[in-house]
Amino acid sequence: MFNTPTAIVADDETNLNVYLCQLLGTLWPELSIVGTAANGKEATDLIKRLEPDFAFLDIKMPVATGLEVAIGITGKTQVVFVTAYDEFAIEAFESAAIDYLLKPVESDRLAKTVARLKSESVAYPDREKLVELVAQLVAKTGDSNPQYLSWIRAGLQGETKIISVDDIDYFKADHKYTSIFAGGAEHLIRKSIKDLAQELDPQKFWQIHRSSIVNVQSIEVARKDFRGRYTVFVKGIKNGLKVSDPYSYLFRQM
Amino acid sequence: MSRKVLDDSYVTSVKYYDLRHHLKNYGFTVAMCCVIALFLWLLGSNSFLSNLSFSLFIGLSVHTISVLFMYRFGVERFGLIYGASVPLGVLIGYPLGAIVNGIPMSDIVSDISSTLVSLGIISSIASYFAYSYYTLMATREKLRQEELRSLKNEKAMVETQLRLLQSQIEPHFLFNTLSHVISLMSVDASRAEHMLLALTKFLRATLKRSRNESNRLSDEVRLLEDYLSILKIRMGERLEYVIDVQVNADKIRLPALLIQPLVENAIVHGIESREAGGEVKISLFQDEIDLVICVTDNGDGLGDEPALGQGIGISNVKERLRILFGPDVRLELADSLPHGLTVTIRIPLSEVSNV
Repeated sequence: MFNTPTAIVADDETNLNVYLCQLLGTLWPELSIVGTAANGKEATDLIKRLEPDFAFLDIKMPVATGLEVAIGITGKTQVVFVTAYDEFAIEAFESAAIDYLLKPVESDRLAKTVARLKSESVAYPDREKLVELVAQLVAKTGDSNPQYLSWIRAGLQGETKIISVDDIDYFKADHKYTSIFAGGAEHLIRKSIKDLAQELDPQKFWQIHRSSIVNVQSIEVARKDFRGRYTVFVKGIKNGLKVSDPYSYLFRQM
Repeated sequence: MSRKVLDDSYVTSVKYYDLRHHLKNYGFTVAMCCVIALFLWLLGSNSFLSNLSFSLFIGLSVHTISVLFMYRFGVERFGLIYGASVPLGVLIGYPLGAIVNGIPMSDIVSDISSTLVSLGIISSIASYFAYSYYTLMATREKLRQEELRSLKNEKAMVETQLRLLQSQIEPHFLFNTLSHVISLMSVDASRAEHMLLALTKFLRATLKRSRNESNRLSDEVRLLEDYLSILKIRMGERLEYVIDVQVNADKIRLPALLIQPLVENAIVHGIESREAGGEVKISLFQDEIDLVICVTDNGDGLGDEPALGQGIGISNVKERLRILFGPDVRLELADSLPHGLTVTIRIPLSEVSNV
């Protein structure tokens, strides 16, 4: 490299940006830090505008993560990830031999990275490999969120309420809407039973009929009539809920 | 017989109300009677039809009496039920059979020895089958109960794990804070020191929480100040916070670090992801009945419509409250205006007052 090498540093915590710049200044005096970013969007803009040789990207940043910023890079900029803690990412980086720095950043460790960045003339890591890896990681981070509904926002006489699903006794289809019965109160939401069934934890909620889903914890008793049809009775509610044949297996004896 | 509701099984044992079940059992009894009649006929006593009528009368009487007893005394006491219903059924069924077959009572009384032999055979076979059937049922029930118990144990184990998980410190928080301490050491040593001391106090409280200890509310408030001051140093102008205490915080005791997860939740899910950051407000006040804890942020809120998998931290606090105080403690969520989330906990003062 004949020109002065350039870099940007991105971390949402300003003091950490300053500190990393200081360390880099000591270890690599020729490197010119052309900008710092406080979030993913700023980092992307800086990289696009300044086309630095290197970008030190914190993974967890507001607006867009360091991983997302990295996939968006189209120019020559090489990435070094910085992270305080990230189980999945570190594992993936290790296996793909992608460079990363752990916070708190140690100067010995940073010196190694600097030495490598100085010596390698080709783009590193392999762009395609990185994109693929990061896409996987982004998907994984998305998946790590719990899959089931835990809160429901519902209208009750013009007022919005946020209800914990644990407090809900049962759901009943009401034309295009669904009625929620929780502790004796009724709320209405604009979501069909069919959609709800997909989003509720099947361990906690049983669909017992095309038009009703019941919280297993709220079932007081299930009674069977002479024709072998079950009716479910929920705590504090007089009328039972019919169980239709396809769902009656839920109540049969072992 | 009273309905049997297993503690946790959610499903009532309904089979003794079930007509189909009864029909099946009567069918079984009739079949057994036929077998007995055939057996006696092969042994050479009387005609098949007369044997059949005797065994049917006796078998059905025994069965009916046992069913009636079962409703009266409960199926668990099948030893008593069969001990009583077999001789009683025979006493009723045998004379009925005699009447149908046109055998005068005096003959039965005089032919007492053969009567006793037939009676003995019939009742012992019937008792044996009935007994083994109900023993089987009882064993099954026992197995079921045991399964249920092991499920319960498993649940308790998961709960313990959950608590352990809860008491762990968030690694991002720990490592980012330490990074900050290092970065500040050469520039602003006193701030670095403050941060390290605050972190130490926070870690100590985390240990307390994992041991399920309680704290004075005033200590909790100081901890929240420590926690928030660490985050304030880290996030700079992106975080503003207010702690508003309207209660006598020395007179109230709370489980250690009960409020902190709500604050952490507000920052991690509400504020940290926003470019401009936001504000957290913690209000502690009381009415006649409850201590009210309110954590409000002006962050992203829950978004529109049913929220998928939001606020796991909040669910954990809710579960913890339920375990510690029972179902009467309320934790409610509401939208903050114009955006953000408000979490409100109400705990009866009687539960937390420190006398």
